[in-house]
Amino acid sequence: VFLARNTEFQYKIYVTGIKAMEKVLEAIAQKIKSGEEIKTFEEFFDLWIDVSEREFFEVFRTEEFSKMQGELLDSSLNVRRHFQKLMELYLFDFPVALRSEMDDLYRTVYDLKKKVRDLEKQLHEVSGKEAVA
Amino acid sequence: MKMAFPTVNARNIIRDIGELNRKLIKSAETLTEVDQVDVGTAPMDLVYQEDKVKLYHYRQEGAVTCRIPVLIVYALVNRQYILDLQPDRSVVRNLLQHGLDLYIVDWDYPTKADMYLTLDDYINGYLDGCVDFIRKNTGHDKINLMGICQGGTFCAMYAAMYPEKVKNLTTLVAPFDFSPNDGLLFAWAKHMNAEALAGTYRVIPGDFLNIGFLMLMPFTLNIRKYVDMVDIVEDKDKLLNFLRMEKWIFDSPGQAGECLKEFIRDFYQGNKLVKGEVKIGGKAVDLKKITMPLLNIYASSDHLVPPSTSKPLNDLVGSTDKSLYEFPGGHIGVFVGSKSQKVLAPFIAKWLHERQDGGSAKKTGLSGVV
Repeated sequence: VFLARNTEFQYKIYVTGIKAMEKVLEAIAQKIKSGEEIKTFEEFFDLWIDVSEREFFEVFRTEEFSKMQGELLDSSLNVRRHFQKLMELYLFDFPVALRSEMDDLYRTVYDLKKKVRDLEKQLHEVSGKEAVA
Repeated sequence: MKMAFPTVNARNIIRDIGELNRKLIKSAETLTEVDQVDVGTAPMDLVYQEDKVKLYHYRQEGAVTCRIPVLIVYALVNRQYILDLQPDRSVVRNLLQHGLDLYIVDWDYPTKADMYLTLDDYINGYLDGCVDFIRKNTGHDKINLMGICQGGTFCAMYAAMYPEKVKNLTTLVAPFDFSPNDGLLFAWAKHMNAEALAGTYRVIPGDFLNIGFLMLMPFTLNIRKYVDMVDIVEDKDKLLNFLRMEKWIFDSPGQAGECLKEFIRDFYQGNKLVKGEVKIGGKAVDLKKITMPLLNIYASSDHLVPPSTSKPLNDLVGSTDKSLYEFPGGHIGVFVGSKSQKVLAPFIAKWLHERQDGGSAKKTGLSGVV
């Protein structure tokens, strides 16, 4: 699925690039027809950047592109998750801490820290009230 | 398609290429003269820390003329030193020169140990801790909050939940209404599987976010910028400033998975803030509870946080003293542009000075769109 999504995405970028280049050439042709000349490399470069940027922006802002990108991300994350699971299986018998084990540990530390912070706040509030009383 | 054959002035182009080579050789020489790309050089002291989050207090070398301290809250994305990127263009130094007493939050770089941090931890935990520290140490019940970008969203939510602790609220280029799709990030985020993103990475790498930012303007940000750089490499100061900006752009902290998931799901996708449906740590965020004076600043050509996402805040708050300020420029221009230094920073300082004793906009004529 990832390969299909990736190919689809790359194709979209490729086609947009081709279209953008066609538009650049059209813009140059238009200049020549109207008697203008591309005098410097900078002039050509600016034209190429501006036209290409615009063309890509028009594609990037479509719902179709956003969906395609989202699907590509989703499928690449899926590949990554499977790879991580596979690595955990390989490493299970080795004397190293696995990521899932570290996740558990992080969760415990996080929960404890939160509990301590809440208790500190409560203590602070109670001692504040007592001081006022 | 029939197309006229492009005629070019070959002599000019050969000359351009020769010149380009000369500049590239010179650039290598200039680069060897740059020892260190220094950023965030305004003197400051670490005054409070909770876990990785740090609170710094800037040293005021002149007189403090605005009694109420200001806490600057930057986004979790990128680093807060953009406000003090280069000594001669520094919002921080500018505000200090205008007599403000400044504090700034440094969210630091989350590691996998921070993967479970939520918006509740950042806002009700760390931010509230920083605010309470300043209140306690300065003796002010209320302080000024200045939130930037995502930090502005955080500050607005904080001000809605703790109005008794906030004297004045200033937001800069911050998103509140996430429904418009005129910014590409807003359009793209709506189709992102936030659950899978957080679950897979735990802490989403800064580089992942950077790729997204660079894709917003792929030709300008990946090609033109570096070609244009060749024109300034002979000037050491200009090159140094270019490198400072590059350092900032690519100095992207990772994002705690749980927090980013919440932000994408409830804000970008659910647009819950303007609907009044956001709850942070069980506390409802009702923007109408923001009753203190509000200065909401947006940038007219902001492609990261378009004006359409910032401006609605003024219609959603309960404040009667509220100002909307249009900065002519883009997102980054707000921090390092010349207008930012000459006009915007002095304006913010003036706005805060006028409200340090509970003054209202009516006295100064600063209400409405400025």
